[in-house]
Amino acid sequence: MIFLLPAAAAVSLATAAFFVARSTDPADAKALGVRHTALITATVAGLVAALSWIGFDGEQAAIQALPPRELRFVPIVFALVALVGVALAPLATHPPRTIARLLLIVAIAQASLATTIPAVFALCAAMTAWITWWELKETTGASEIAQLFAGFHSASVALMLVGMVFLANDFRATGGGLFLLAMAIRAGLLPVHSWFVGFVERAPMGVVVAFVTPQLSVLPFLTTASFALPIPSARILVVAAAVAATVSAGLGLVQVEARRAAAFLMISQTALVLIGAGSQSNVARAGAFVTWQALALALAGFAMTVAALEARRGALSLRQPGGLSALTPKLGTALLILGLASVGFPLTMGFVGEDLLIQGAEESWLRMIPIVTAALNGITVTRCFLYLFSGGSALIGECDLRPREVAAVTVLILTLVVGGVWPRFIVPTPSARPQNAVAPDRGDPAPLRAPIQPTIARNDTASATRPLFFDHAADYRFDDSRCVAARIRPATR
Amino acid sequence: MNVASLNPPLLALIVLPAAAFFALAIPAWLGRRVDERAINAIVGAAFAASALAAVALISGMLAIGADRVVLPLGTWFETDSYRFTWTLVADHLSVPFALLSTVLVGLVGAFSRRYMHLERGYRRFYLLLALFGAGVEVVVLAGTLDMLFFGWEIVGLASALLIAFFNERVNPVEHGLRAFVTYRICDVGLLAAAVSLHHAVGSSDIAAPSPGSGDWGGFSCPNDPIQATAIGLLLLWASIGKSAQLPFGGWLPRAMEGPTPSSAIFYGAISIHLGAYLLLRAAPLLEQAPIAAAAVCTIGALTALHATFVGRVQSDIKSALAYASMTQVGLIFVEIGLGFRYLAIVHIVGHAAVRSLQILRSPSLLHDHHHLEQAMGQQLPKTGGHLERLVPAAMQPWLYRHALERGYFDAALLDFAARGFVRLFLALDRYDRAWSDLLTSAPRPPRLRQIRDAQESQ
Repeated sequence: MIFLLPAAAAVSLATAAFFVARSTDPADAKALGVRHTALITATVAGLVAALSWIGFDGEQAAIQALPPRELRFVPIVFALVALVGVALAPLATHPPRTIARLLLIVAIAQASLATTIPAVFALCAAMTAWITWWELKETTGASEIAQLFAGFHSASVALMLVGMVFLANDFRATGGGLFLLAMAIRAGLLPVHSWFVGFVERAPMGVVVAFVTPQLSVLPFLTTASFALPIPSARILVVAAAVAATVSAGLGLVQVEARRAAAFLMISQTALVLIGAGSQSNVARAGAFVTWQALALALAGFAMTVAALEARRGALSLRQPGGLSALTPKLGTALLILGLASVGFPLTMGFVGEDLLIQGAEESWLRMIPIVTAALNGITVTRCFLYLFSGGSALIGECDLRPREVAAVTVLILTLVVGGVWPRFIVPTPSARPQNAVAPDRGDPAPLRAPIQPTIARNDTASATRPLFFDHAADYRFDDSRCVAARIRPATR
Repeated sequence: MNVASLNPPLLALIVLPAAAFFALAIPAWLGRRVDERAINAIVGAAFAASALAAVALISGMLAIGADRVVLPLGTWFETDSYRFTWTLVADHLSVPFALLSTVLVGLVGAFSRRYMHLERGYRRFYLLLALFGAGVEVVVLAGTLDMLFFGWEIVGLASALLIAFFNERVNPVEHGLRAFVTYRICDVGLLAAAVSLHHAVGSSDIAAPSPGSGDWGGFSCPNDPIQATAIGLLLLWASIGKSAQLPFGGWLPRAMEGPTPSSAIFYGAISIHLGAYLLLRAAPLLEQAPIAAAAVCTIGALTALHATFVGRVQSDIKSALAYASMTQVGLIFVEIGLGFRYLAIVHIVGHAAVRSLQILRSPSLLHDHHHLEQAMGQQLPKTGGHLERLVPAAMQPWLYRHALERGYFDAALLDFAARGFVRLFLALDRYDRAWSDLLTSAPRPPRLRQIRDAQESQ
């Protein structure tokens, strides 16, 4: 199955990267990148809206214009990540080659949406890691981090490939476990996060945003039935993500450097998405899906505003208040709004996602994790805002966001707010779910045991898989992959 | 006239303050200059119209004899079996609060026109005031606990940002952060209560009151008394933070660092009573959970005692008024816990009006005293003598010390809760850094002691 729109967006972004890389002047490269990404974002958004409106679905065709209904917003999200990454990229740390790599990484992330073939996803994940490592290798002062990055991501790619081989041969428990570990490394989950914090601290923020915020580690769990984990693996994912979310939130709170705080915020919030992704509840999985998209936008914006401020002021300390929002009101407002949007503040997409995540959690302790984590991360964001934009009036000459930056941030905030006010476009509402596939979430929490099972489950004592969220996607993804050539059917109890 | 005709004024109560906020926020983001008169006109007009809408709503309800007006605004989002709906409820509880809030915010807005004149953050002040007004109306008119949480968060943010209003100084910023931390910690209780209600009874909607009771509706009560008690305690936890009750009341006197008009409306009138409002809304649930009701009484009584003693040794008027507010809200908690709901409403309305006036007048306290003494022809008589008679002489020095140290609650929270948390995560951070250094092939892994020393020197 091929989806034309993400493929076209990927090609466009890659073309933009090519032209940006040819530029010699950083300012020209940035301007060119902004123009291209703005055009691509507008085109993707327009096409998604127009094709969805006229009902251009082509349910069973091998080549379709749009991804499944639930995934249609994602190409827009990725395009916006590219737009914000380029528009707010400081010139000093983002020469043309870096901006080109940023665009290329997002292009590859887009490409991972363009097909349902698992091997293509694995290839995309590996390529983004390779390009990022290349950038790190050439970044001044990041050679040690480049080594660490290479070590962790080589392991991640290797585990992913081996896991896929096991899955293809229907060793679901082993394959699922290996794949899980690969994705945990990719997501920077504690305790395999050692590459992540240093990466956020040292790498150009645009590249960090391009590599981290599309959260490719989450994508397969949410969208691809081929990666449906056996119950024990899903359980491990949930518990590991819960621990990672809470501990990272606590670590974020005690940081005295803004970049490190942002790094732990990213880990913590991404872990929340993985809690939902590993959940048996459709409500929690819908929450994970919405939170994933909200986080991609909000964290990209938050991280880039931190980078923009850093370019104006130098290293950002959170030891004591040391800035003044009166000098840079738009920068301060953007940092606050985008940071709060990333922790699920009301009126933003994140609120919708986290509400679903919390309401959908099967167990009471699991419900408390997103609540407590969001509370701690909210404090981290507010602390960052208050300490970076208050307390000192000695700073002079600090300029506010430039018009181009304001335009990109405005589009981002509007998207988050519109997505929060009218979330029906982004909240998946599975309508064609098999009967009895999922236990009701409200008043009768979904059991952790298997609601549905594949008809073929060889060599796997824990053969039950999670309920699949995108049922129609599940069918074709199973067909495309060589993993399990089976159709799903309701469980018999 | 029928019940449907009351829907527009009910909706206007929320829409108008929100519109004022956006009318100020959008030009600010676009960098457009708006003069003070226009800012004041926007906020004044919005809250005046909102107050008129509240009056129209009350008049309409009285005219048709409606005890309750419910306005379903539709489903916000839904998936599978979960649905988030927007519903507004006007009843005996929410309508007085809605009217009180909109009138007081409007009056404070009018008062601030001169008080904040030429202040650097004039627009920011009114922007946050409008945001606060909108948030409060969402809280009081919410038809579900989920929706109430929505407004609750907005109120908390507006409150913290206004405490940190004078952001060129360090203290207001740190105090604003302290208030926000307290809010967030206690908001955990509110959200957990909402989720628990969903899982226990299937919804967090405000149910209709029993017919003929003349009362207001509350959250549905779970049949299991343990669940009811747990939800009641979670709601109490949420109320403690917002209403500055023990042991989290330490942020309130510090919150007085904000502009006086915002202190008046937040900590004299509206925000501080929102915890009491939440408990009043949960009153039917508290009736079924006597342990939770007893906890409400106990917290309220302890806070009232604590605050009345501590307030008497404060050397600045705004801190003294902050503790006076805590005392009264503590008494209101006791009334709610004992089931005197209408007494609590009357107490809230009276206290909000008097305290906000006192705080607004506090900057001219000396001037007022001077006038009063001139009129009386003598010095003002000493107050509080009854306490000196009631408290044994041997205990008075101890009590004085206790009051000066604010009951040691702040120190205890800092030493036993916050510091432990911070130390734990700083230690984890040290190990994390050391592990990363080891992995990055640093020539020699830095010794943990060195990192700890560096952290402590920060």
